[in-house]
Amino acid sequence: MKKRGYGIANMWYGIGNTANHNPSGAFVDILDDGTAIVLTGCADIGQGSTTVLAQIAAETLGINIEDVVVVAADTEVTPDAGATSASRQTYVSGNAVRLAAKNAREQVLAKASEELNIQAERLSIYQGQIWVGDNPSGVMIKEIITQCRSEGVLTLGHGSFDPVTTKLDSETGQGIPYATYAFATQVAEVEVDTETGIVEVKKIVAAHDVGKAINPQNVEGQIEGGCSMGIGYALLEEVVVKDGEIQGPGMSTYLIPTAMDVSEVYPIIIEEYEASGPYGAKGVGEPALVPTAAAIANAVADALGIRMYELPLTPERIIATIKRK
Amino acid sequence: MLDCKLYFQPESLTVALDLLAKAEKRLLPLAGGTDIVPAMSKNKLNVAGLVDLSKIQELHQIKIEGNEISLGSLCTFQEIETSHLIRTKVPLLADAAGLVGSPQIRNAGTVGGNIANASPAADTVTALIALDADVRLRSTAYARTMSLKELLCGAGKTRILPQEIITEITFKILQPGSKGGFIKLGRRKALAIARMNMALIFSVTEGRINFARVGLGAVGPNPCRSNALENTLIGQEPSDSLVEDFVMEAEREVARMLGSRPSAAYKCEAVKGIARDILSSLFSSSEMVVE
Repeated sequence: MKKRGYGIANMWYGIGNTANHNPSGAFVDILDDGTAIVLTGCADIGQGSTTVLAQIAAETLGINIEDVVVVAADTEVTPDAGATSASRQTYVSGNAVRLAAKNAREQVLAKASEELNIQAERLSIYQGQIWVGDNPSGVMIKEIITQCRSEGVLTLGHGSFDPVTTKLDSETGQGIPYATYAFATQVAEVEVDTETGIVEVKKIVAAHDVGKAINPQNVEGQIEGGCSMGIGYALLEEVVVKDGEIQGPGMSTYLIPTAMDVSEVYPIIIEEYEASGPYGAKGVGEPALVPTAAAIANAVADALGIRMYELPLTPERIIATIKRK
Repeated sequence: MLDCKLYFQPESLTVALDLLAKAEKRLLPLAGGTDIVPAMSKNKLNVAGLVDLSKIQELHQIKIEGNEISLGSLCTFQEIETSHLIRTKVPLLADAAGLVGSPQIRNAGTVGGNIANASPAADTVTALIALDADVRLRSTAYARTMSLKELLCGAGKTRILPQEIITEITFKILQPGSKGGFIKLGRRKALAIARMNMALIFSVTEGRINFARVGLGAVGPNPCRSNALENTLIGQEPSDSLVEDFVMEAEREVARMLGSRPSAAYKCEAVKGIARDILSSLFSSSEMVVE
C-alpha cells in the first residue's frame, strides 16, 4: 500500500569558519576604458561565486557587469580568499570585493570631484557615468580615468574582510562563533510503499533566509542542488566500512540520486537584510542541504506512524521497521 | 588497466566464427562491452583477446519470421526499446529494455550480451524467459537452437561453447489482445541493477484468463518462470481479489525460491508491492496491449 506523509524541518547555520579568523582579500583595477578587473582567491566550484562577485563589483563601481572581468582562484596572482567552504564566499569574499571596489571608486570620485568642482559626497557612479545627486553629469567614468592617467595616477583598490568572531570559552563553550547565521525551513511530501519499502519524495518546499539574493536564479539553483543531495542523504547514501575498507568506493556502488529520483523543488527566497553582509547577503550553500533529510524522515514518520532513527531510510530498514511494529 | 593483446573486428559472421574456431587460446566474443570491458579493467576476466561482433550487420535485425519474432543478438537495448515492431507486438520487452542502466548503457549494451553475461538480475532476460524464448547458436560446423531456460545454468554461467556465437533470439508472436508488462525494483529509478524484476503476460477469453506467463528475476541464479504464479491466474476472472491472491502467492513463491538467504526477509515482502503494481495496472489500464 502507498502511504502519503508530510514533514517539516528547520535549521540555522553559521556562516564562515567556527570561532576562527577566515579573512578574504580582493583587488580591483579600473582600466583606461572604464572596465574593471577583479582579483580574488575565491574558487568557483560550480556554485556561481565568480558571477556573484562580478555583480558586487559592478554594483559598487557603478559600471555594467559586462565590463567586469573576474580573475579567480589563481594562487599565482590572486589574494587569499580562504576556502570555498563554510557557506562563506558570498558573505566573506563578497565583502572583500565590495570593499576593494569601494576603495577604487573613491579614487575615481575624488578625481571627479576635482574636475567638476563638486563635493565628492554628492557624487556617484551609475552605468559608467558620474552622477550629481539624482542627475547624470554627462561625464563618463572613462574620462575621469583618462584624467587620472594623464597625471600618472592608477585607480587600484584593495579590500579585505574577516568575520567578527570570538574564541569559545574552554569551560562553557560560550562565545561568538559566527558573525551571522542563515535560517531555513523545508517541507517534504513523500509516498511510502509499505511493501517494497520505497520512499518517493514527491515535493520539497524550501524557504531560505539568504539576507539578500545577489543572484536569485543562482540561489534557487543552490537550493535545488542542496535538496537533491538531501534526498541522497535521506534515502541512499551510506558509507559502509569493513575492516577499514570503504565498501562503496565508486559511483556504481555508492549510489546518489539520479535526475529521475529528484523531486519537484519549490525554492522560496527570504530576504532578511544582514547589515554586515555585502548588500545584505549571507550564504546558502550548505544550508540548502541541512534540513532536507530531517524533513523527509519526518514525512516518512507521518506516513507510517513509526519513527525511524537511522539514515538512510533504505527499503530494507523501512520494511524491517514496519514488521517489528 | 584494460589489457587486450588480440582484437578482431570482422564484418561477417563466417570470419568471426572462423576466428573463434581457430583460436589457440580463448577469444571472447564482444558485443556491447558494457559487462566485459569493466570486468577486463578490473582483471576479472582471463581471455587472450576479443572478437568484436559490432560490425556484423546480419546480427542487428529485428524481424518477423512466420509466427515468430527474431531479434539479432547484437540489437542494443535502445534499438529494442524504440523498435515499432517490439513496442506494438511485445511491449513488455520494450519496457524491460528501456529500464536497463542509463541511455549510454542502452546505446551500447545488447540483448545477446545480456543473455551471455547471465546475470541473475538481467532485465531483458526476465522478459525473454516469460516469452519462452529460444536462442540460436552458430559455430563454423553447425547451428543449434536451445531454449533460453536451458541455456542459462547458474549465475554468470551458460551452456554456450567457446566456439559458438549467439546469432538470434526468437519467440512466438503473442496473441493479439493479450497484455504484457515488466516491472523493476531497483535502488533508484535509473542506473540501477534490478533487486527484483517481474515480467507478466496474459490473455483473457470469455472473461477468464486462459493464458499466463510470469518471469521472475534476481530471486535465484537466473531469471525463471513461476508456474505457481501462472496457475494462480489461469482460469480466473480479472478482479481485485485475484490481484490479492496473486500477491500472496508471489510472497510464497519468493520464499520458496530464496529459502534462508539474507535477502529473503526483504524480498518476500517487496515482491508483493511489485506484483500488485504490475497486475493491477495491467487489469485497469488500456495500455500494454499486444496488437
